[in-house]
Amino acid sequence: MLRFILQRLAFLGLVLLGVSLVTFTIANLAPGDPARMMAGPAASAEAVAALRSELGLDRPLWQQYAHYLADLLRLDLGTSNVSGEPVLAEILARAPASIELMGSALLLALMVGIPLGIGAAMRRGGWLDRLVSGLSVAGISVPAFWLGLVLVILLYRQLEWLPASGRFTGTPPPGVTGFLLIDAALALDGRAVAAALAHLALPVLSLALLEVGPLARLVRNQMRAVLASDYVRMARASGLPERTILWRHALRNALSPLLTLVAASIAMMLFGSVSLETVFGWPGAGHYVVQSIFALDFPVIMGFAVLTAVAYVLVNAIADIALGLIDPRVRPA
Amino acid sequence: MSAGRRGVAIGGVIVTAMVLLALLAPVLTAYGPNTVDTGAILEPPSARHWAGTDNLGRDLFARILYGGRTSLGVAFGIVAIGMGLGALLGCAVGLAGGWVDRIAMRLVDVALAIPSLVIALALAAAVGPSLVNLVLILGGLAVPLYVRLFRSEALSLRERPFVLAARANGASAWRLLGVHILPNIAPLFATLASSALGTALVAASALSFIGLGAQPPMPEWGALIFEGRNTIMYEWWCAVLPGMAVALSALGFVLLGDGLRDVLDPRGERT
Repeated sequence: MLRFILQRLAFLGLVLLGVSLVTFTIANLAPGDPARMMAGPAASAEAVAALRSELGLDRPLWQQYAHYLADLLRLDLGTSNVSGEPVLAEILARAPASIELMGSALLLALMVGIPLGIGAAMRRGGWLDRLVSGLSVAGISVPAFWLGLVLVILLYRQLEWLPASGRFTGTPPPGVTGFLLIDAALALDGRAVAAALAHLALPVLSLALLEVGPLARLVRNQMRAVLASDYVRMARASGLPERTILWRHALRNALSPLLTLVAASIAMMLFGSVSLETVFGWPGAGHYVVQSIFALDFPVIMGFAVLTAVAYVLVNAIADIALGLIDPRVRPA
Repeated sequence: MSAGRRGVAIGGVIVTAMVLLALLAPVLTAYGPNTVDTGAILEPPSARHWAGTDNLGRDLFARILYGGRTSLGVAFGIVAIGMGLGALLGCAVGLAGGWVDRIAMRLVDVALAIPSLVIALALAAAVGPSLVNLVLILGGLAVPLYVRLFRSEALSLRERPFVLAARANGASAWRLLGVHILPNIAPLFATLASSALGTALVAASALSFIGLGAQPPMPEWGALIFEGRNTIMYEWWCAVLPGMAVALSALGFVLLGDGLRDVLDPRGERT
């Protein structure tokens, strides 16, 4: 087991190195001379040259990369061209909003998707089975940001049920965790909880609706394979009640691959939430990066890419190791 | 009709219809995609303007049809680059075996662990938004996935009797690849390409929606949704209809891909 964890950690190191190489390359592709941009258009050629050597831009590429890597390890992602604040602080300040959105969507998708998948597996060709097939195809073909716009038209404009923009209205609860829903609950403020939930509803629904299908489809396929396996037949032949077979024997074996899919679907969400946060004016990291794209604020765009890539890689590594811990079948012999 | 055949039929009809609508745009509509008519701003769908008009009085039906040329063209470009290169490299690596294969697969593992769409976003912002860049970036980033899929296909083909026989007869590496391997990966290629077109369409429209693809006034589905989003409260058609074009086309490609997988059975899963 220890060997398995060490193997995964070594691979993690390799991937993180890959991420840094990719982002370093991209950063070097960005237009404009950073020294000229910092010095301003009025600065003399000598001043720009001095700044270039101060920034280390006249050194060979591999030295610049070493420098870049050292900065990354010290969690220094540079400063925003627009605000002049450190990129890391700017993005972290907005991360709770994004995590609240994606976490809620994932939770909702799992709560609906798992029972749906199990139900679909129990009756092949039944209406649940067909619903899962339909939802999983829709999950791939429908753009999240467009679904968001359609839901805004239906549930905000036409029915006036739910707010369509922002995270909150009125005075927000005292910030403890940065997650408004949790902060509101901690403050025992029912009105604030309701407001936070109402604002979460539309963006979470847009994201979760597309996530449910693929999740349910995986659960269904796993359940089917497990229900057809020898040990389930054995359990049935031994006269165990169907309920025990389902909950004790089938479900545990069917659900462990879900961990990998959940980790992978976070990548789709990270990308999907960028356009979705823009649609809903959701003050998260994705909305911020889109604003930075229009403002040509490259340090922020690069910082966002590095942080999301690292977060994704870490989540996957944790999921891998966790899967190895709970499911000995995936461990290398 | 089996589910696979039904998928091929429905998906095939949708895809053919969308491609024809885009190709025949000049025949199907008298309006130009960029013709501004200040007398017909934000008109709802009517007999004159089938899909209404946008905030500059441009005919939305024309913009969606011409936008299909851009969007479908971009998707085809992405898949051609991603799968073309991926299949070629994957087969080459699978046939070569040995240390080439081991190193290539390590690189692929690392590449697949990095979230490619986030990288695409940063890359598109860095090199500057344009359609060509979008195609190159999304196509390039898809290569590792297809290297892995086609490598495993080549590996299994390599041990099949007809390939072993050809090799025993002294066939060159190129002959093996061209005559025995590539024709046999065609079913897998068709299946994967169809599904890949669906995901490429959605990904490209998302990047266009955040300003990293087609630039105004060029019609492209993602960009049309972006243009229409400021008027959705009253003039819903500007954003909703182009999005329907994306979703419907992607649906067609995905259904076609799933159906082809069942019918052509490239992995022999049915047996």
